[in-house]
Amino acid sequence: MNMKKRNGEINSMVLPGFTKKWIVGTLCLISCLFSFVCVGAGSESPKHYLKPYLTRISEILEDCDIDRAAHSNERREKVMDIAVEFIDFREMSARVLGSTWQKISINERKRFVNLFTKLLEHAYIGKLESCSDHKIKYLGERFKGNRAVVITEAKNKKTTIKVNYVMINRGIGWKVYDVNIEGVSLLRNYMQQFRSILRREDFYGLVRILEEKNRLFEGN
Amino acid sequence: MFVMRVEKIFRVSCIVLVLFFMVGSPFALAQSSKDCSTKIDLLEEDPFGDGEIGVVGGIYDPLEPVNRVVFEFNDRLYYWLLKPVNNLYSALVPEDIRSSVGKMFENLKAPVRFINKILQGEFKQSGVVASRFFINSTIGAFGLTDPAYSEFGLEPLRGDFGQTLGKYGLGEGVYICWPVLGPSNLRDSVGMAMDGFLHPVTYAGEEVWVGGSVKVVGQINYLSLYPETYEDIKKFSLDPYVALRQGYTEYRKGMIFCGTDVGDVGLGLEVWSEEDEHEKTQWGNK
Repeated sequence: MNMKKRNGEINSMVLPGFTKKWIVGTLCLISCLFSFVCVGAGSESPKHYLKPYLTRISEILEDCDIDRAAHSNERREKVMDIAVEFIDFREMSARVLGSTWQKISINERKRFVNLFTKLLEHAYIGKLESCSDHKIKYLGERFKGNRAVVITEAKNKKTTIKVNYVMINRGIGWKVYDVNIEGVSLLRNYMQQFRSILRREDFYGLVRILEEKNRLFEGN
Repeated sequence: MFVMRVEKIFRVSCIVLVLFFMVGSPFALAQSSKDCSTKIDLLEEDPFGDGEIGVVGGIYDPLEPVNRVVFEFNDRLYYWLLKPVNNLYSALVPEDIRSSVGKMFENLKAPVRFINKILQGEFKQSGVVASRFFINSTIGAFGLTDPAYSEFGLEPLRGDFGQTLGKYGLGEGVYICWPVLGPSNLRDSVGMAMDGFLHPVTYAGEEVWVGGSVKVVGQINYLSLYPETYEDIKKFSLDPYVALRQGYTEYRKGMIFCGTDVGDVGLGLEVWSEEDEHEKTQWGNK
């Protein structure tokens, strides 16, 4: 009983210490969990990061209802809303311009990003208007530093198309900055076209050509 | 007389080919045994990373002024002749029949693919090509259907002599835009000529025009099945000539290094012509 009393006394004496340790321990645990979440978000597999977005887009494209044409704009907006979440259009724009990106101002960069994003939207999201029964098969992924490539196949009854998504993680999660279809890189294709134009025009000449192209799409 | 000359050239070509590949086949076998994904590494060099970068590769196009003129000619030819003919053909022949005809023409190319797969040291793939040819020619009603894929899961494989030369390490050479035939390069042009000798249709009749006509019909049929390919390139690009040149070169490089295997197919290609210099781009903070 004395022991119990002693233990009680001891317990009451150590309680403040225990409480402190408990609080510190809890804070550490919370910090660790918080760090884990942050690190986990940054180090999440690019494949697992990409898959939900592609699944959502596939669901929209597979909806082959008879009012497809009537809901064209709505569908395009839905696809674009998803696309901006996992595609880094700014990264693409910077890479596609190359050294010219360094020479232009922040406002010019913003303008170019908007124009290039619009071009890609017209060119590729518009192309996705047709009903698609392609199923995506994920074949693997590879890493190098803060970049990765996710290897996939888009397959239907007739064709199999190899599509690789090149992604980068600048600390805010994985984002796609290039799509490689059967060996052909979207980014490099536009990069070479822009380079060809910049040999004979300046940056504003390129902007004019982009604006004209987007107007053509919007006119149609 | 002409046929005898063609036969003589063919026999000489075959002898040269056999000698060439007897010497080079060990090298080709060593190449083909490598894992596809290690041949072209999309992430190997980051031409856009921080710091200095260098030109990774190149599409050598010193003939760009001439090629652009030919490209314009081909563009006019497409809209003035090929597209109207294609529209008429598509209107007269239902898509199902055109699809079957397309499969038949693809089946006819099997000997070309088979020989090239052997030359590339891809013996397993050559077996697939032979199996597909046998199955589609018999069960598939002379290639009009593709039970080899639908029933047996044997996927179509691609193989041509340009690909074979590429696997042996031969570079593309200069980029060439041929009238009518379209984008190519020096290596693939030689490959096309050699494949012409290997194609069974070449020997369809005593006169050359018979085989040529059959090939033209095959091309028109193919175009009718994929009518939007060229028009999409024009529609979505700001410089269609460059878009086609870059797309063709990368597509061919992907075929040569990876074939039908799964793997990275990204390429580090930069374009330079006589006007350009090799440049290093400083990539700083965005």
